[in-house]
Amino acid sequence: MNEARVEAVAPIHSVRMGLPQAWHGDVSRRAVARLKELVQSGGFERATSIDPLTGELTSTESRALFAALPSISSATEPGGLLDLGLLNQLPRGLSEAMLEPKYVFGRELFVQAHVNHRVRDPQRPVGEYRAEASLGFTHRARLLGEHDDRFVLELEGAPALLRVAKTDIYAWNEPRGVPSSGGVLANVHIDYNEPLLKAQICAAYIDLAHDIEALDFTAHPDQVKQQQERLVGRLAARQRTRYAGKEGYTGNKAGALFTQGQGICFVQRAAAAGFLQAFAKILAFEVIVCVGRTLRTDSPHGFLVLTLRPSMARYVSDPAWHEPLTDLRVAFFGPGWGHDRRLVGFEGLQEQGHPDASSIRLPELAA
Amino acid sequence: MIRVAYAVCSETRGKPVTRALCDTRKEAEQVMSRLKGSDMDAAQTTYWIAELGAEAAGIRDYYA
Repeated sequence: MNEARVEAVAPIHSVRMGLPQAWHGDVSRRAVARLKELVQSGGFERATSIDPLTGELTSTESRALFAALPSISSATEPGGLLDLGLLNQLPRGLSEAMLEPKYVFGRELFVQAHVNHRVRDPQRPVGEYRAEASLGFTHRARLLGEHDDRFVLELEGAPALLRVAKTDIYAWNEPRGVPSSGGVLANVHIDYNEPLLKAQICAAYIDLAHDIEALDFTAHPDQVKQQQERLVGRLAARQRTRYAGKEGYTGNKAGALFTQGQGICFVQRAAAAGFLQAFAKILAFEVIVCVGRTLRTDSPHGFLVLTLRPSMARYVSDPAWHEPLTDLRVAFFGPGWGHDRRLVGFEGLQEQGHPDASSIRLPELAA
Repeated sequence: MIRVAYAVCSETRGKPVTRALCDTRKEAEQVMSRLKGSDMDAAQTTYWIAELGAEAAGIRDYYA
């Protein structure tokens, strides 16, 4: 874990000083309306063309339009998207879904324990408890209850239930990534005022608006999860960064890297985190920026873990491996299926702090 | 881009990874050659060297 890896860049409001709020609102709404026309006419991709050396937009018209678009980040409240004309209605039951407890019986969590990542049985996932194994993260701990300041969990192979400090569980499982005002991660500058990043985010809202509006959190939980999976998967699949050493922009602007850049896995997932976090509140999901290693060659590997709410179902989003959204149980199963990764740590900030008591609904399990 | 490091990369079954960070191209070529000789699935793997900029500094610890 390295909190120092994210450095704050200029907050969103800094570029807006000196002009009345209503003026900005009108400009933003008009820019959104113009972008809608561009997206719907099929001209968006051409309009995003950049100079591969500088990452700057080649069209002066695009520069002007994209600069006038609103900055949307994880701090943007869903209602603001209505004001901007990006959505006509919010998903039904969204605010109630976000109030559902997160720490519930049976939820699978990351914990540090003595765990084995060698394949012992190809039909069984790696990550079970082994007393002689070294300390590491497993994805397979299951939450059973709480007692005082500890959560009680079970882990396959462990001789007894695990009792882990709640603060540790939060450190390993709460959202972590780019601050809502932007920041630097793996040298990728995620600036929510970068015209191209604003355009990528707004264009995705425009493309997905119909399905976002149709999302219904009051439907059957399986249906909700399925709708969210489809939408988040489509968002993540918009990224087209190539791996380092191929063609494309090699600079540090997240918007330019997102579709026309190249970079190693850590760079790709930083750009992905900056983009996806701008949709987290409206689609009800959480992002964790992860550092991992491959199981076969023990090479460092960066990816994201996404958690849908209220189901708390977890997924890996791994742009470098062209996996927009893979069920985490599959993504961490073992090297045999090519899903060759384990978690070793995290990057970025935990901006939201620890959840309060209302996010826990568990039986009391005394020692 | 100001070159900061050379990344030795490999890709097997569509999953690229950076195997090592090196300060010189010569060192990177030596590492790549060693990996080609020792990897179990070298025949199914593509290897290359990529030049990295400032992002290399942020990840160097992982390759120590």
